Amino acid sequence: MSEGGAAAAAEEGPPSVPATLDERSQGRRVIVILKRASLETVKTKKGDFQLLNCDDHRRLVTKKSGKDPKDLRPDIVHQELLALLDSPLNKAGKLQVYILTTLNVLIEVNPQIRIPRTFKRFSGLMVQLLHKLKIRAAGNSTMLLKVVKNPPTRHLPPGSKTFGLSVEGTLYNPNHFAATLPDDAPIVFYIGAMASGHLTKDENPEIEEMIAISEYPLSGAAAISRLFGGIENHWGIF
Amino acid sequence: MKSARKRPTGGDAVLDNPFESRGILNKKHEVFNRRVKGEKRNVARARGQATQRREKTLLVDFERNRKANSFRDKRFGEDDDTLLLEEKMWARMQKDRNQRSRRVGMFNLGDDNGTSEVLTHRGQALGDNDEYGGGRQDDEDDDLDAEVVDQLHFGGDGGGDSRLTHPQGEKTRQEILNDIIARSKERKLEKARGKEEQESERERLDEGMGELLSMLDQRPAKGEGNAARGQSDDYDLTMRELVYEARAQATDRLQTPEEAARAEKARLDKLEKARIERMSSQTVDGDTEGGASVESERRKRKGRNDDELSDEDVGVSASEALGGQDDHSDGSGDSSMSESDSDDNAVAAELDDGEWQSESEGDAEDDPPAQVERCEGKASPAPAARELPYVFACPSSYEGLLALLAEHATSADDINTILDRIHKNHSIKLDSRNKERMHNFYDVLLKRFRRVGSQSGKLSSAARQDRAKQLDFLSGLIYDITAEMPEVAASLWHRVCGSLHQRMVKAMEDLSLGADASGYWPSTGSLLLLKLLVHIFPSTDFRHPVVTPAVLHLSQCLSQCPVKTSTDLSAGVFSCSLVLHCCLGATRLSPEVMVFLTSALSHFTLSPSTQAALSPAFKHSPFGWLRAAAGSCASKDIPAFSMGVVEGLTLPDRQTYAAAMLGALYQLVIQVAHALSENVAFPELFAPLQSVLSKIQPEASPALPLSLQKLHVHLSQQLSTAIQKCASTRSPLQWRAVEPPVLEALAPKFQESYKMKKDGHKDTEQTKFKQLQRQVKRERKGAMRELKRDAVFLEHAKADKTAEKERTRKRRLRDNLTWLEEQQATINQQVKLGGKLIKGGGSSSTKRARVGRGF
Repeated sequence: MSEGGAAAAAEEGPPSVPATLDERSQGRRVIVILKRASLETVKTKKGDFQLLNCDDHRRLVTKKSGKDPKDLRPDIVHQELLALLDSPLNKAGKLQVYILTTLNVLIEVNPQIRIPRTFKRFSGLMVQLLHKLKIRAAGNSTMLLKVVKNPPTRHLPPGSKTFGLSVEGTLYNPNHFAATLPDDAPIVFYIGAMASGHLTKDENPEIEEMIAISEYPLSGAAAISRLFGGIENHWGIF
Repeated sequence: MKSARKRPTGGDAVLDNPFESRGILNKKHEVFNRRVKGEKRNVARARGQATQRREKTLLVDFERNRKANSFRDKRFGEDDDTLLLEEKMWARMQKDRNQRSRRVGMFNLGDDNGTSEVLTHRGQALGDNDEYGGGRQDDEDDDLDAEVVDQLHFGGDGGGDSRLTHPQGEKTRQEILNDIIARSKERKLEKARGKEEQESERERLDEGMGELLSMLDQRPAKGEGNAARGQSDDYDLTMRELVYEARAQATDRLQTPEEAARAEKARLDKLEKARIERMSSQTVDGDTEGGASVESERRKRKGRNDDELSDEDVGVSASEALGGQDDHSDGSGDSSMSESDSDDNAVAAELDDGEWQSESEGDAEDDPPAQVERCEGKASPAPAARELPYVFACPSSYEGLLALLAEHATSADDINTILDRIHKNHSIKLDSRNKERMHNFYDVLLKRFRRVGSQSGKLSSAARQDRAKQLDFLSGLIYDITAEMPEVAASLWHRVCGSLHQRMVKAMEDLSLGADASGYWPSTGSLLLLKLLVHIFPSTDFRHPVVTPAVLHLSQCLSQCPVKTSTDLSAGVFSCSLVLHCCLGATRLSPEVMVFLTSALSHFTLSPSTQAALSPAFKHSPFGWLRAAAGSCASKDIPAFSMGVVEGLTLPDRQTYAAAMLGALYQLVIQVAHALSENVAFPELFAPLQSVLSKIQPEASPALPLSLQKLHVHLSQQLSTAIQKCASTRSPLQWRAVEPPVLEALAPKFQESYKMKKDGHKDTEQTKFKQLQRQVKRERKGAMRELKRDAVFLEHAKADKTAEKERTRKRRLRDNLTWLEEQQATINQQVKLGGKLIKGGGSSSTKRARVGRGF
């Protein structure tokens, strides 16, 4: 167990979002990349634009369209984002999130963003983001969401350690796993935001090791809570 | 000149080339289910179409340019190359014939005899069947054979089947009908025969039924049921009882309180009337010694009651009439009352006056109980009229009530009955104008309650019982009247509290001036009155117009009035119980009670002198004897608490008193501890009490009675457990926690229903104008593009034309040159042949030596 994170932070003042690459590559940080996120705009019959999902647009997603309704699950992204950004790790300023959609749009998420709690509002936010490519804060000009250049690796700090989460990976106890993490380098987690399937090393050669934190296949949000629970515990963030 | 540009033609092979049909390669936004213009366009096809269009329009115009006339060939098929000559001729003839027939056909008239329209059925005119109409009007209509119906209605007649018209060739129509009738009659007869047969068969079977029945095993008949079933059990008995039990009858509806009161008054009036009749008959019979005064009084009463009765009987509903009657009766009643007062009870009146004065002086303690007894004994045992009257006037003052009681009452029960009848006769439920009367009566009742309550404990046991009976009844009566008119009751009670307090303040002032005053503690009657108060009104209210002043008064007494005698102590303990009654229900804390109880208990310690100064009220209390007296009490149980004076009593009485007092104190402390056990300040509140308790030492000599010892142990245990429990729930003080620094959360700015438009979701004039501007720009660019392409097309067309011209010229030139060359060749050949016909020139096999140009 390391020294109390809260006490340390109290001396430093309120945490801030690291802006430069130098700042990003320093110290203990966690970077999460949500892969295969199903974020796509759809134009409805009424003429308005919504986030394509399997519940509301079942009729639009025909066989001809070449899409499987099972894959259209933006709610998974929503849940995972809530789990990520509401975690104490994020509140302590130790988290950075990227989203890579199925259409290969890479989105950088500012840790300060307050994700809308309802799916409908989240849907509106994402539609606007996919069209305008950026979302600012309500009060000031802080950029909260931003579409950035692919591939994700160009945004990862050098020297970071990269893991992929899958039930097929090596099984770890989250607490023990957190203890093995390096103290000085940022840690990158690839987490899937899809309804079914697994992340594999073949598809993502930058992953160093596939890990599992439970014997059971968990939902994305549950896996995040579990993993972060171990890390927060180890880092003394409560 | 050769055309540089290869113009696409209409060949499908080129147009459907997948390499040519490409849409927009890079869409800016991938949106599912959105169609973008030109998404799937085929460039080659579009270009070909554009060229074709231009050839039809622009090229034609261009070729017609600067030409004044044009020839239009309107012959058939002249511009259609696909038609053969024969077809062309055929088409011409067809058109010509058509035109001619149209001209002639205008004047053709319809063929009259050939076109008259006739409705037919199966090829036969419908009018032919008319002959059957007459035959079907008979009453055999419904018995028509299905066959016939089929024939006539749907058969269509005529056809191949000619059975009806010509059955064997010579049946007439009449015969046919007869045949039909005969057949239907035969059918009816058959039907009737069948019915008869069925009936006879049924009768035959019925006759044989008796034999069959005897063979069957059946349930026993009703009469022999019990014997068959054996002994009837409880269930059967109960069931039979229930069957014959009377059904519940419909009852009258529940009466409203007003109706009930009215019925009660009517009943009383009736009884009174009967009583007076009985009395008068007795007097007429023989007893004339009743005296004129009694007689006249009875007559007056009778008259009044008759009036009232008649009112009731007749059912006068006009409230004014009733009110007037009531007023009148009231007046007469009052007058009779005053007369009777003056006549009969001169002594009682005197006594009353004296008593009233003493009461007004504020000394209620010596309110003579004997007087009541005398009053009770005063009622003369009139021979036949000993029965209580049923109707009384409402006394407006306490003296009036006393006089009334003196006249009629002989026992506590009588007094109660009289008061009850007064209430019933003048209830506010009968008439709202009784309010003032009941107001006075209520006041009188309160006074009465205090007087009766104040009768001291020297009474005999019978008198004590009487007193208890009266108090019980008065409590009920006061409670009822309070429910009837709560505002009036509240104001009266408020006044009572005020007068109590004033008395106390006056007595305290006297005491401070050095006078040997007493009476600062409420009298026994007053205490009982206050006890009634806390039961009548909601005692646990946080603020109540009557209860709050009463509790304040009692609290002031507890904290300030000196406790000098055992009566004071008793009054104090009683006050404590009253205050606790109000406080504990609401888990309120009364510090006066706590201090008083602690101080009182401190007199039961082994060394009372050190604890005496806890409350200023106990400063000069001569209660040193209490512990010793309690210790030497002989009884094993805790004696009953009493309010009596014990200063002058014997030792055993004193011992009883001390033990009872200690028991009462213990009980009160247990109550307080129980009610306040949830209080967070419990240990601090009960610390002084606990220290005092620890000094009582019940086992030390003189040891307290065993029951008291048990109570003491129980109390100590209760206190210690409650203190421990409270201490265990207390959490230690903590430093204020510093909040950890938090990354500030920012809400994103976005529209919930976002529209992917250039102008967003705005719909203003300005946006419309901008849209129009964009449209104009778009159109203009399109037009420019078209014009450019037209110009290019024309340029190509011109170039093609020029090239064609040049080609023609060259061809002609070539042709000419060819001809010339041919001529020359022919000449040369002739020359070569060497005939003498042509000489010179030409080319021969022998070549001439070449000579240079310059040479």
